Amino acid sequence: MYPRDSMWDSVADVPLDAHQATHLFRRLGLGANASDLQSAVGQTCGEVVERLLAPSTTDADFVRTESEFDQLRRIAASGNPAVQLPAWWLFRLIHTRNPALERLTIFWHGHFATSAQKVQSPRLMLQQNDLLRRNALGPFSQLVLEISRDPAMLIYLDSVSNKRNRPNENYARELLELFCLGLGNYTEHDIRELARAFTGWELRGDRFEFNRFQHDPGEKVLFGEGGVESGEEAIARVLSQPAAARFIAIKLYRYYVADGNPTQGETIEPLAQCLRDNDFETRAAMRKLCTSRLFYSRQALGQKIRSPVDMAVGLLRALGATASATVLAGQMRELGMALFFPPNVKGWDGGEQWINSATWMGRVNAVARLTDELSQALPGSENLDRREGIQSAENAVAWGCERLLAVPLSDRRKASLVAIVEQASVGQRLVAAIKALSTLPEFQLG
Amino acid sequence: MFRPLVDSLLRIAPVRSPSNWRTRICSAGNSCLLFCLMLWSAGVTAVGNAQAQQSTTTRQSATIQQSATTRQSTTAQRTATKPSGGAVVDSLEAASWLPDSVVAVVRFEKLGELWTSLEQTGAWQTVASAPQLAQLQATPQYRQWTTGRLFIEGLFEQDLPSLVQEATAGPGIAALDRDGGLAVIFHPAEDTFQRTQKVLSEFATLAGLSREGPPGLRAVAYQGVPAFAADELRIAFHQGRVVLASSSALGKAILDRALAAQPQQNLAQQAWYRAAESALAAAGLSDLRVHGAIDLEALRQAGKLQMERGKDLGQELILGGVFEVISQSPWATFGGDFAGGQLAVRFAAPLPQSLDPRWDYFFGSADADGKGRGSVPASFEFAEQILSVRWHRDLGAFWNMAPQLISDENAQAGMAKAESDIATLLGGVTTVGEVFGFLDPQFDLVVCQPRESIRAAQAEIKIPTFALVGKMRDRAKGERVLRLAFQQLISFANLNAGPGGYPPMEVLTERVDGDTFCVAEYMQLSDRQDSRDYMAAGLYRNFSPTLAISDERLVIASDRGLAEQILAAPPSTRSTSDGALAGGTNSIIEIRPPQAAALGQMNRDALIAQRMLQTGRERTEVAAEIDLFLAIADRIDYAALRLGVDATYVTLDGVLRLATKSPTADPAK
Repeated sequence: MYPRDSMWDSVADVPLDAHQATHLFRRLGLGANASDLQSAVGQTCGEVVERLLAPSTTDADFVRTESEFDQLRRIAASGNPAVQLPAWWLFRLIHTRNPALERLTIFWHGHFATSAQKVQSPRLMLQQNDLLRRNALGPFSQLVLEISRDPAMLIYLDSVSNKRNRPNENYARELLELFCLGLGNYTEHDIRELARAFTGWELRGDRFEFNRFQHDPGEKVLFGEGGVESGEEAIARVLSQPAAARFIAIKLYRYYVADGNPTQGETIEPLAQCLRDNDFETRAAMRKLCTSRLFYSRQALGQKIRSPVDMAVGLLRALGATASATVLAGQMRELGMALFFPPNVKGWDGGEQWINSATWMGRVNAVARLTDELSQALPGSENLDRREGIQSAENAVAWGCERLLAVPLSDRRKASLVAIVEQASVGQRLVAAIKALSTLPEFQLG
Repeated sequence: MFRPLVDSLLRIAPVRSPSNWRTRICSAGNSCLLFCLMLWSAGVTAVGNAQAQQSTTTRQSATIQQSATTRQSTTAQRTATKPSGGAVVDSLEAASWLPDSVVAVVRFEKLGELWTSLEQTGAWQTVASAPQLAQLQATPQYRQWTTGRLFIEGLFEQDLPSLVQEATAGPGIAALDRDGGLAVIFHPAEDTFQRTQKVLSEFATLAGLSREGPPGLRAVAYQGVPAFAADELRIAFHQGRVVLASSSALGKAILDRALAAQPQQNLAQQAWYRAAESALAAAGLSDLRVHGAIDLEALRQAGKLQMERGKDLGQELILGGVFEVISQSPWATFGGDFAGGQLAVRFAAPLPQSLDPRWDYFFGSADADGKGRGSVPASFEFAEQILSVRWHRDLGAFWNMAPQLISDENAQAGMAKAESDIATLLGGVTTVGEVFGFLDPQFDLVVCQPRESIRAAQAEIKIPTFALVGKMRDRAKGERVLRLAFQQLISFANLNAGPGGYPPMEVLTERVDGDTFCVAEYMQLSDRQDSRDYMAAGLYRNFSPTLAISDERLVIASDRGLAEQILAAPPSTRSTSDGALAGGTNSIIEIRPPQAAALGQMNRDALIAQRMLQTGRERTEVAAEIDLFLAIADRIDYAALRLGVDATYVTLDGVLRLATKSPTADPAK
């Protein structure tokens, strides 16, 4: 392990090896296939991170896939939201040319959790999804402002009933507790004052509208200081609190580095300071995080339990394959991660909460179904072994360990896997290896 | 619009997909190769059988539309011209070889012609020229099949299509026993019979020389009858007949009966089989290229016909009567044929004699003349009609009977809630049973192309116009209640419209010459962006729910235009498309695939997008698939599924008529 004071040292100039590149693609993106790795190994960490955070949006493939997503989006808005919405996003996750942005959008979706169950409008949910994606890498302050005016959020946290004479504190409370500061960094008085500032933020049709007749124009005292009148001023005041940057930094750490909070207070402070120094720009924070020694240290490697979406989409992208998005959406729901339908306003707890006796078997079955489905869908004489250059059971196990596992396996366990894979027929070795690997605890770590 | 169903009910047969057929042959390896040889040997003689050909010609020109009289005469002609001496496998003689454990038999003849007929259709040509077929040809299974094909063609010095043509041209019988054993009996010509034995003997000799494991084929004998064995498959040659059996025990059982000096217990002696045979002949099904019978009683006793009842109200409404028939009828018959580009199939089961009075909710009461039961209304014939679903169901009687039909507690709770919700919707003025009681049992669901305005609009999904047409028993009492229900439904829809971003609808009621129109139209709120979005998307022109009542006619339509069109349709256009079957047709679904394909073309982007989500594949690949599907649909002229009930039988008919003209040559398109 690196000395603690050097954890945030930059490794941007250090060339990536295969293991580091796989880790980077898995954590910052949605898994890596052979060509991803080929292009990344040997490049410096800074170059790869920069490319992932800012892909070429004029590339023909990029334009084509974005155009397809837009066409699908319109259909997703018109069908059964419980199936169509998650299916649309999963399709996008499988095919996107911008995996880092998509993964960050999932992060913000969990952070500003809003469920279609209550909103009841696929159009508004997709509108919010666009908002999250549009602001995912930009300033957090802008994201908070826009999400506060987002129609789906206005419905979900009852801002539509936040009236001048009868303020509804629901959104104000969650903004302070779950979105910006965390428990212990505000008072009940702050919640009431913040709710007053948001009065008149209403919905007309499917658009935000400020109703000045329902807005409380009086001065609000927030965090012991007056001078706040509007919702916009209130948001600026909230984000000026020292706890804000630290709160977001910890959330990023838990999503990208390791489950659980950092053990020492100083571990996270450089990232929080980076946010403050860059007007809360998420891109700057991601750049610092992913080019730090911490990101490639034992404190990060294999220290996260993969979410169901990371597991399934990561597997598909590692194989350069696809699957039925509607079926996958059903599987994700069974495994506790229905996109667009977070369980509550806290979003998904993640970490150990992903795994229990039921979801463990569900995960193994989901991997088996995916590998069976995609091996059957391959055209002509193609099979996974041939496509990935698998010649033997040893090859298949090595491929799986390299691409799918975040932690190394002992030689003895590898030998056991090889013995299992040798039972498989020619052409089915990789499928057998993936199925066998999926039963291991190590497979659940990302 | 639709040609009479009876015109389309040609003698049809289940067409085996060529890809399946090929796959089966190559994947089953040695056994299937032998099976091909058998088929070939069985067919050679039959090809030259002039009498059989004459019989087939007669059959092709005949249709089920022919009355019972015609059927009887055809059957009589067939009986009179039936060759003796074993050129054709006599059904009872073949059945006397089969053990009494058989629960299903299929007799078939000239199957090879089916393939030829299918290959000549435009739909097949569309499939054959599809890029997906090229993908199929690249698969290892296809290459394996090609290797096997070359081997067989080399062995017989003849190309496989003609081999198959000859092999499947003759008559045969296949049987399934209680244990799942399968047997097939052919009666080839003497020279073919001998030649096939010779080829198999050579095969067995070659296989015996193999040093790798046990031989795949070996020569055996049973009571002096020459036979061959390959795994569990048995092939025997006896009295000019070829017997294939999926197990040694079944093969022996057949030969025991064939060799016995005195008749042993066999299928031909079974009462169910004799009754089914008579029914097949009486219904004209025995003239079809494929026909057979199933012992339902045996399957029931074996626990293979268990149906879950009493849980689903909708299922009970739609299929309750059929379930009753299956659970009581002793046997069922079926037949099918494909000729002249038309595929038709029929299943028939005797109507149990002890009629449960509650069947009235389903089939309707027996007609006064006792020949039929509740029948469907006459159909409309609109030029752009895509689909017609007509049925006879007495909803009032069904609702009143429902507590006795549904036993599941959850379903009962659902019914109670529905009763409560509908009572609330209707303001407590009446009960659900009474509302249904206002309606005559005959209904017609009409689906037509979207209006011109919709086709031109940028709507995401261009929904077809549709209408439910019924008849009121007592307009004076029912009209007010139905108007109230309609207004309440629109109000509930408006409650959900706002959060969904939809503009509200307003209900306009007017009376024109005694006709009542309640029309709900979207309010065009020009000051709202979302409202303008929906206008641009054509939503306003796509949907204006309408309740219209004229005399006793009741129409609930997706837009006013269709409701007016239906009410204005003169009686002459409401022809009885099912002609001779009128009075016996309980339910019928008719579809015009070219019209459906045109609708699909309008919604092509939406279909592609939906398919992309379903498969996870990218647009180009999915688009080719959708285009192929639409092209095939365009090559099918007409399809229908009909449930009929007369005094003695319940029948299920299916028909598919392929287009004879190419799309570009058809001036209608």
